[in-house]
Amino acid sequence: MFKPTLIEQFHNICNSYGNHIAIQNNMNLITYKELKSRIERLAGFYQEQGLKQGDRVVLVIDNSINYVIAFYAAWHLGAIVVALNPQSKDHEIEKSINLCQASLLALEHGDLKRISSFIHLDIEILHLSDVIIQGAYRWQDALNCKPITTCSNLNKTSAAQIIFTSGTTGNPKGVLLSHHNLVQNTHDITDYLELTAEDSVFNVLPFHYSYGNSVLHTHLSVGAKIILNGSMAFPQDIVDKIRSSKASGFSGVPSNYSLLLTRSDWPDNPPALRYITQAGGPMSQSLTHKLLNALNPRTKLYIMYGQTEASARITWLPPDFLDKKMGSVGIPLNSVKIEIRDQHGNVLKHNQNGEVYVAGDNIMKEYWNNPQATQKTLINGWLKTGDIGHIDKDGFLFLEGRNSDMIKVGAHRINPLELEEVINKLDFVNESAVIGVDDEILGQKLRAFVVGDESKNNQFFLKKHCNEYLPAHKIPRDIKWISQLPKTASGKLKRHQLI
Amino acid sequence: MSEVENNTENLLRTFILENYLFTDDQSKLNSSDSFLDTGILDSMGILEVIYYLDEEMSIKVTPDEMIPANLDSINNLVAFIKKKTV
Repeated sequence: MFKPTLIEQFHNICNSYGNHIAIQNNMNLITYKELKSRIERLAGFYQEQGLKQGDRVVLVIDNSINYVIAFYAAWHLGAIVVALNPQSKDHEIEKSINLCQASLLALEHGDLKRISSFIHLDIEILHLSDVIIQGAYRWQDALNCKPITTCSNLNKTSAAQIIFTSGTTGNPKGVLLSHHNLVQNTHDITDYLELTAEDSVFNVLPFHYSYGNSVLHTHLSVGAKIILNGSMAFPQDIVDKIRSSKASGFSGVPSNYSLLLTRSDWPDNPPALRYITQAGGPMSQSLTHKLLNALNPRTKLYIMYGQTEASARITWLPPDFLDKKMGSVGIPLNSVKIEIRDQHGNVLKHNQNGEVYVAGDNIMKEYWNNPQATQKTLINGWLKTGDIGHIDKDGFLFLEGRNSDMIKVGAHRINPLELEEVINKLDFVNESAVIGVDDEILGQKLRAFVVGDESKNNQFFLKKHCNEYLPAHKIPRDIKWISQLPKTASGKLKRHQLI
Repeated sequence: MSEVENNTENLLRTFILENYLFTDDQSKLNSSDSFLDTGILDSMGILEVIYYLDEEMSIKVTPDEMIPANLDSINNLVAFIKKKTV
């Protein structure tokens, strides 16, 4: 049976826990009841702009109460949400708007220059600042619209969300998730984390990425509280706030835990959390041990594995198995199946390494408007993950690496081809290659190898040029000039030889 | 401000301008601006400043020193370095 959609579930929760705090952002608090009221009013505004079921709404908003309102108001109308990284450059946002043929853009930054750069597009613009800008709507005015109190009717296959993953600049891939994908994955996660309305999660993860998106929906679906914190810049501040807010949960990527364990008093006085979760790339066994040794006795650590194409989560390691199955990312979620296959697609036996394939209700519908990419990734309903690993005799998955050159810097997944395309545009560059080098805190850091005219000025111009096209986290600051790139006889880059 | 402090400030300003603002225009960086509030640096950038202090100035930042009052502007950094090197 098709479970209620997440927006329907949100309405149910508001009926049961209307006076619970839904979100806390520093001193700003909002109850479920008030959140629902604002969502219904913004949905009224969206409808006044002609938005209807299946239309795309692009969000360029930092983690905040307003992000959640803008997101759930779109679902209230049956629209598809496309949340982008607010650090994206304007041309990247414009490209995404065009790719998904969006009808409405909700922008955090209300400065005239940024909004003006989108005015020429055939799209309604909503901005969160107080200033009046010709051709754009103000948030505060939008919230005065007549509310729409009933949710749009959606079926099992209705599209809910597009999440763009790192691609080359010419070929970004939009993962299209259905309401059913998200409902099922959310349900499975809340089940194993045993989330209830009494929980409160301290969140540092960006909502526009799959992991943060999942933290948002899982906690709202049970009536829990989400405590927002914008930055990991000052780890001691985070730990102090986790303690003072009496949060019951924390979700992080490995670099978050590395920072908290080395740059705060967490190890000396572990916060009294009920659960902490780790996903967003493999965590080394040494860091896992350090974290386990620095846990409050009541805290359970959940190691998890997933992909955007799988709504978020594929496997989880039950905390009782952390010692016995150290290094494993666990067992499949309730509605998920995994197989290990060889390069010909044959299913392999226990303990044999091959590529991880995943099937289940959480697997994306398709890549938006990209049948070629979909065909390469979805094989008879199975997601070809690109990850390499094996399943042991007890059914636990162990990952050994990836079949791709993706670089993982902190919470960001970066495709080196995108950076190389940008660097190669420069007249003084013949060619380039970008790799990830190991970093104790971030997991990996970017290093660019450049063949071209080396000079201090050119090094500066290269970074400046990257800044014009790329968000800050994609700008390589470690640049090495070399005479030639290592290549095979057929001219293919030997990326693994660069270090 | 002493000559040493002036030098420290110049070094830090050059590092931030070249690596995060991609300009040599000194007017683009106000010494009292919060790096985080103005979006000049994110959490990764703050970490890179800490690496820079260690590698270029041999200044180790301890966990309890990793706070906005020490690191979140040129002025704060200069005052912090002065305190550490006295």
